[in-house]
Amino acid sequence: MAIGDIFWLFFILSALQPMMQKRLLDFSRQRLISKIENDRGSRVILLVHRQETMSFLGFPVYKYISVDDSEEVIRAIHMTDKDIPIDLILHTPGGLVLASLQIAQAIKKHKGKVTAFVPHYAMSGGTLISLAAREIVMSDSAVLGPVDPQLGQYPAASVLKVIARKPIKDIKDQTLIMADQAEKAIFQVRESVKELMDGKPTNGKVDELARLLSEGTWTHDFPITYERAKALGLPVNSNIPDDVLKLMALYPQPTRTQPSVEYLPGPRTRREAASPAANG
Amino acid sequence: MKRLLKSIFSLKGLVAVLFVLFVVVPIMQSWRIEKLRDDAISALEKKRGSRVIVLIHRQESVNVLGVPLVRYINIEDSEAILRAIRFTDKNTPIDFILHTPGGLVLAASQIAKAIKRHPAKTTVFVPHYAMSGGTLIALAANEIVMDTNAVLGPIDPQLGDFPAASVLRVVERKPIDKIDDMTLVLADQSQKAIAQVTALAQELLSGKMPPEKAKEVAHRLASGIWTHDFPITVETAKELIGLPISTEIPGEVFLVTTLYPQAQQTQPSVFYLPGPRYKIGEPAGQETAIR
Repeated sequence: MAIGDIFWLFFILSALQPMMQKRLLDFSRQRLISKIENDRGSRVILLVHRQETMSFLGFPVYKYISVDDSEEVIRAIHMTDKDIPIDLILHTPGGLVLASLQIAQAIKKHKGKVTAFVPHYAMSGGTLISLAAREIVMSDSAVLGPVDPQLGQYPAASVLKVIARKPIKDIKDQTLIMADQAEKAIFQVRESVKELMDGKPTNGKVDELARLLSEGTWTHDFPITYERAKALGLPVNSNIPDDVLKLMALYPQPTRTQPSVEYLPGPRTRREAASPAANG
Repeated sequence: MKRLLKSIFSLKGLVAVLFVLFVVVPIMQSWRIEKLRDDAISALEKKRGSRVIVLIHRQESVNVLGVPLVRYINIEDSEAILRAIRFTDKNTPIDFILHTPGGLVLAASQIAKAIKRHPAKTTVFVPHYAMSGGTLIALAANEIVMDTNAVLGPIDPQLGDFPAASVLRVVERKPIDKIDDMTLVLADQSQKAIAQVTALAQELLSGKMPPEKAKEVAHRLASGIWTHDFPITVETAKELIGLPISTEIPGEVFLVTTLYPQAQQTQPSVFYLPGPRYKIGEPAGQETAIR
């Protein structure tokens, strides 16, 4: 074998290797997801945002809950029969209020039991989605976060503090513009939380809970641990199945962009019931 | 033959085969998707006997520098849509599929007015979201059909980064001698912008509800009582705004939107099958004579 042939062989192998690796990873993910679905008789939807580094120039790409994500998740919900339970696995720093609320409201409308699994963290928008679920299953050290709205880089609650503390004639116009938006945003999120928690056993603490979570009681990155979530009256438990944690390991920090919502294609219907025409 | 096989199985041949796989296959795939889109649109057109126009703005994830590209309703879109409407016989119903975060008021209002002017029935399908300018377009249609989880948004105008309504709040709250000149300039524009959008919405809603009701709905949507990203769900839209909305969205509409996935490269955001749409057996309308 000539030295040139060895070079080509090496070239071909290194070109094919990432592709084969991806296939293998995809395959093991699919196998694990379908195992969880079989064990729990549910549809599994993952919403995983890992912060990526662009290999090209080294800029970090921040991934968050976007409208495309909400579209994908809702498509998956549509493809699920209304009595089939949904297991939503969340690993996200949060994202657009619009997209998060859309997912949350779709979950709230789903007839079957919806369980949110939080293996590691689901901040902000992720927490908003969890609030809509019938049950939140967290691992012992997983955290949720406050859902107070952010305007650009400023927390809405802090903008309102300025207005409360400083005489209005000395406040900058731009701050006042933001304050108006902040007021509306906080009100909207608080009402949404109440709506999402409606009908859940929270011992009449709904108003207080909505206020605590949406009015900037804490900074936006404050970790709400399992114990605190329980004390707040959220429907949490900590019996997270091992398979869910194993599944997360199959979503490593990627080096390239990849779709952030994943689920096995095809509708989930109860075997005995005739499947109604699914959207899709 | 033997020679050909031998050359394929030689290492350089393999490289050539790989090249074909890496270069030719993606091209074939994009052709296939285009074909599927055309098929899906024409299936919907056949089923409803209408012209289907698709306006989909997906946020292209990143360009070369890692800056997210935001897509919105612009003049190119309104031009393409106006052309599509013009090439549609006036007795042929038009179905719009909207998936957009909104965009320029000018472009959106041009589209909305053209829809309002179309004599045959117009329907807007909102499979997922149609915020701001998208909502304005939806108001113009005879019928809005939303998915149960789809949302519309408020149509209050935005001046750059600032919502017009919030700028006006500053002028209300702060003594005028303390307000920055630029803010006052913006406030003047804000006032005009809100009045214009309200009037436009009212005009678009006229004929679908009593005038006082249209005025009230237009005011609610355009005066900034919510933040600009507030999701107006089907229930909210029905109750608060009193818009005529149905949720019977045909499966074909979803098929069409799935065939426009998050694109890797920029692609045109308005799609429709070329060629005029007639009702069978009727003479062509005068618009088509222009061609």
